[in-house]
Amino acid sequence: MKSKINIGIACMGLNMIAPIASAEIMLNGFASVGGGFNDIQNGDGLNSNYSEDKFSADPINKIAIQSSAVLNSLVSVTGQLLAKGTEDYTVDAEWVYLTLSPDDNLDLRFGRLRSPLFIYSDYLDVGYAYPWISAPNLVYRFTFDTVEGMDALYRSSLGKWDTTYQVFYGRLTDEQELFGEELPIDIENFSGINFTLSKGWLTLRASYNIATFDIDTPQSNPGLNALFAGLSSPIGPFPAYPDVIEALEITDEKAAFYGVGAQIHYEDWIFNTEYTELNIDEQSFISDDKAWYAMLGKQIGSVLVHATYSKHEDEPDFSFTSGMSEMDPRRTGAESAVLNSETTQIKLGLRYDFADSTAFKVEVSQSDDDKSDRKANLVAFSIDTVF
Amino acid sequence: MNKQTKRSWNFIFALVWAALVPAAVNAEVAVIAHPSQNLTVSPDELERIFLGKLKQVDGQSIVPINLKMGSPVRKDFNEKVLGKTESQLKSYWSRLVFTGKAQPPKDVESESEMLELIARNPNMVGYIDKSNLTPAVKLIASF
Repeated sequence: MKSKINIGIACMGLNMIAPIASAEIMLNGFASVGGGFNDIQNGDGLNSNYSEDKFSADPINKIAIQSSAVLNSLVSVTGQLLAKGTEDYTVDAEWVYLTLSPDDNLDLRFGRLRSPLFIYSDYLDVGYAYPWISAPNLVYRFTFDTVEGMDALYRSSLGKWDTTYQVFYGRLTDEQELFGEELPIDIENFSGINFTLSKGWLTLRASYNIATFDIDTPQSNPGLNALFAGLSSPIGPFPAYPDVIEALEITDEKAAFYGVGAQIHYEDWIFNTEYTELNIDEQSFISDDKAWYAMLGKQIGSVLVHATYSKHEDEPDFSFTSGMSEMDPRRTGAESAVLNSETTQIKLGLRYDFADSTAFKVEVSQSDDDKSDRKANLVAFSIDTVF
Repeated sequence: MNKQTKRSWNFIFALVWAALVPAAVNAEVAVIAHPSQNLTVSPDELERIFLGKLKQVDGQSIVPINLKMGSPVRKDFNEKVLGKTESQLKSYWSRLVFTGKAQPPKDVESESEMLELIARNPNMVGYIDKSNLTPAVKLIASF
């Protein structure tokens, strides 16, 4: 075993750098600290991790240590331990995987990985790696961000373009916020394919993902409990509607999620955009939706000034109440229980790389939900580091 | 001001001039490889090698080596060949490191260490100030 590794390392020409024959271990880490003040003008829930009209540091504070061990030219092992404020600083293994690299261009990874739905999915927690304090929350709208299973990453080139193909398959049991409650979510046959094309100043990405999911029914929302009680027995001339309850419950929902995005970094200008859509076979509490953002930034020395517009829109299908009479007061109740918002957000921000491996960021954002008339302003700052 | 101090000021000025000028104006970065290496790399390929995007040239593994952070030659190389500042590169690598996709090139402490390492390893590519070039390595490009 030992001699085989020595040969592997010698072949790579790394014998000078990796004198320890057993394994080369790399330690890396990142941390973010900061805080934000969420000024809610009407309604709650637009900046869900921040408390109402108070200063909160939890949404930003986090620290992670990553260790990678290259065992030989074929196998490496990576683990990333992350403690973050939104999880009460409980240390959690965000990534745990073993990589098989049959050649320089192919990696097969097994374990707990990031679910690669978006451009920034892979390094969502690494604030230092992107311009904002956090990725646009109207678009990056899921509370889960991992998958347990396997993936394959293949790097190649098409003429002068560098290409990366990724396919993944797995399952995830986690939590998703719904009606202000963190509810167990079970995502099965979670799989997808994405590819990235890049050339100098331009990067393009497309992803297509499918899954079957269940989310437990919320228990602590009084309005919802009253609605379910009302629907389970007849009222006056109107019958009970157990099928409407069943439609609302999130069981065995088949979802397809796709996204396309582009990143341009041309001289001092930065432009980032992503468009995403979630399509589910049947309406439940969760509606089909679409969300996108566009960011424009200008680098002035060590300072990046940027502006981002983002929009999220639910597209509910109300046919699940078509069996109910227009006169039945429970019909509007059932229809108002599904996700139905149309929110826009404008964010202005600044990133200042004031020291090596350290960036200071400050942002103001204004979010507006046209359908429910919710409004909130958020002012936040952070210091992001990598080490 | 007497003549003596004036002269010493001139001397200091000349020293500062000598120290600054080659780095600021005349410095040329020499990209180097092992003497046995018949490699020809385009500036574009070189950029991709140092950004971890290209790991083989003509079917042969290539391992890039950096000078340590803070070295003026490294800064020059980053700007001329990679077209990026140190903090843009740090951000770029953090995206790959924390997703387990790649590690940045190894650093060496000094140009003499770079020369020694390149002279011994046929697969490595590095860079030094062109004025420090020795016959122990082969010049494959200069910027």
